[in-house]
Amino acid sequence: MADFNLYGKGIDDGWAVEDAARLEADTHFQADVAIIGTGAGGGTTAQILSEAGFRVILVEEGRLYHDPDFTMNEQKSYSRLYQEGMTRATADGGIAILQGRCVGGSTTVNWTSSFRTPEATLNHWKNQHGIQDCEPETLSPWFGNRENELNIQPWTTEPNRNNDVLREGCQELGWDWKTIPRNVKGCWDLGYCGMGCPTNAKQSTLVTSVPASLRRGATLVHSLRAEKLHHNQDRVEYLEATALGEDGVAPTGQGAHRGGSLCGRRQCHRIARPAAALQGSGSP
Amino acid sequence: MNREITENGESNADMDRRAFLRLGFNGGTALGGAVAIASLSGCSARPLHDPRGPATASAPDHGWHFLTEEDRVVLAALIASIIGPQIPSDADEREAAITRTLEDMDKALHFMGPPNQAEFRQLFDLLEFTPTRLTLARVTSYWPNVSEAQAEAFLQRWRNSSFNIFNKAYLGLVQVTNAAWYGRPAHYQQMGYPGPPAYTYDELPQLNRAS
Repeated sequence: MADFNLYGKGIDDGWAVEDAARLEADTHFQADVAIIGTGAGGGTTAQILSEAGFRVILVEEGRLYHDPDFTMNEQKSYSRLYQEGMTRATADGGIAILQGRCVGGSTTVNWTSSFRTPEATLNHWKNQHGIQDCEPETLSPWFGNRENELNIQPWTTEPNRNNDVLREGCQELGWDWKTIPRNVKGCWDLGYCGMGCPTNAKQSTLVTSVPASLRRGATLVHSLRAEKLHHNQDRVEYLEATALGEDGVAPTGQGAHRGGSLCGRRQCHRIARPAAALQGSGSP
Repeated sequence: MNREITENGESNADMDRRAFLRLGFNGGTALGGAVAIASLSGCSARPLHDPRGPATASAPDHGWHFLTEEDRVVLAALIASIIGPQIPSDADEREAAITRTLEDMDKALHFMGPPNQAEFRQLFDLLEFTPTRLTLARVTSYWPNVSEAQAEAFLQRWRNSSFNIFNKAYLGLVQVTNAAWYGRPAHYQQMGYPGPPAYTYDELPQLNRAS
């Protein structure tokens, strides 16, 4: 049976979960590391660092929605859980970008397709963007670790007629096809993945690495938009952020930076992208 | 005489609005020119009412996020054509259904964020500013007096226009309207969607609570 009301129980157990919409004054938080975003990058980073003993704060622009909120209602889900109410698109409007905006980020709303980053993409990152250490063999143990942790396995359910036609067509044409590996445990096959998994079967960061971080004493502050990294010489000193209201859209303060703000007061420097983590000076 | 011109004053916001209108609607030379002429004529469809102010009689306490009273008049004229025969024929039911749809559209627009909102604002400006309403939308009546046939003809003109910008504007209006209408559980059946599987209402605590 699914484990329902994950965050309700966790908060009762003492998880540090702050709703920035409820902050009534500018607020300072202190930590070794502030991580912007709680999706695949941020959530995983938070788990690794909090398990290594760092005091971690997770900063999430979107709000915390979890299984009690996931009622398979499209209208509510799309407005609440996606960037720009699910209307984000490429500049020419040609391709929709279904990007999450909630605790768990896109891992909360994706359709569980979980494949290793293709070699061509890794090469592009390396050659065009100068990203180091992203060869398939370097990343292989990291991919393996995630596949193991998040129960990523090819879908065992028989394809429906639509997908079967695609499979047959690919076979006829000699095109490459594969069954999608999915990050699920005990999936009910309801088909409402994009509205937030109502059974917690999807192994999103919402139900895996974020709770794991919270169990290790991390603090989650949601409805808080990271605005600016303040530098002291070549180091990030603190992160300034804006509290958003209960609609997840409008800042609670009058000015852009009024309302709640979050500042990691220790000297920090950036250690990772795209999680844009901030690390205390006493850390390696 | 039309209200847009007589009630408008000048402000920096107006200047910004007109500049944006020129820059954004550059889909074609002819169209761009027409919009530029409309813009240079010294008038723009600045919202006449605080968009957060109270709205219609049927929803006196509803705080509107994005849609102005003028926007709502335009949409009210178009919704019945977009939705078609599913709109109730009874006048009271019809008005209530349109108001609910406007409220849901307003909520959706609220979450869409500034880039989308800027585009919709341009679109509404174009529809509400009399010279562009007459020349670009080719809607000859003031919006409260637009008949369903006129609304339908307008939508079809933009749908079939050879200007990409009008096709996009048509899609924008239709998609937001349809999403608001068919997003309501009461309207699921109109498009043959049964809703989540019946057994989940017994098995999932969040649905038990909701019911």
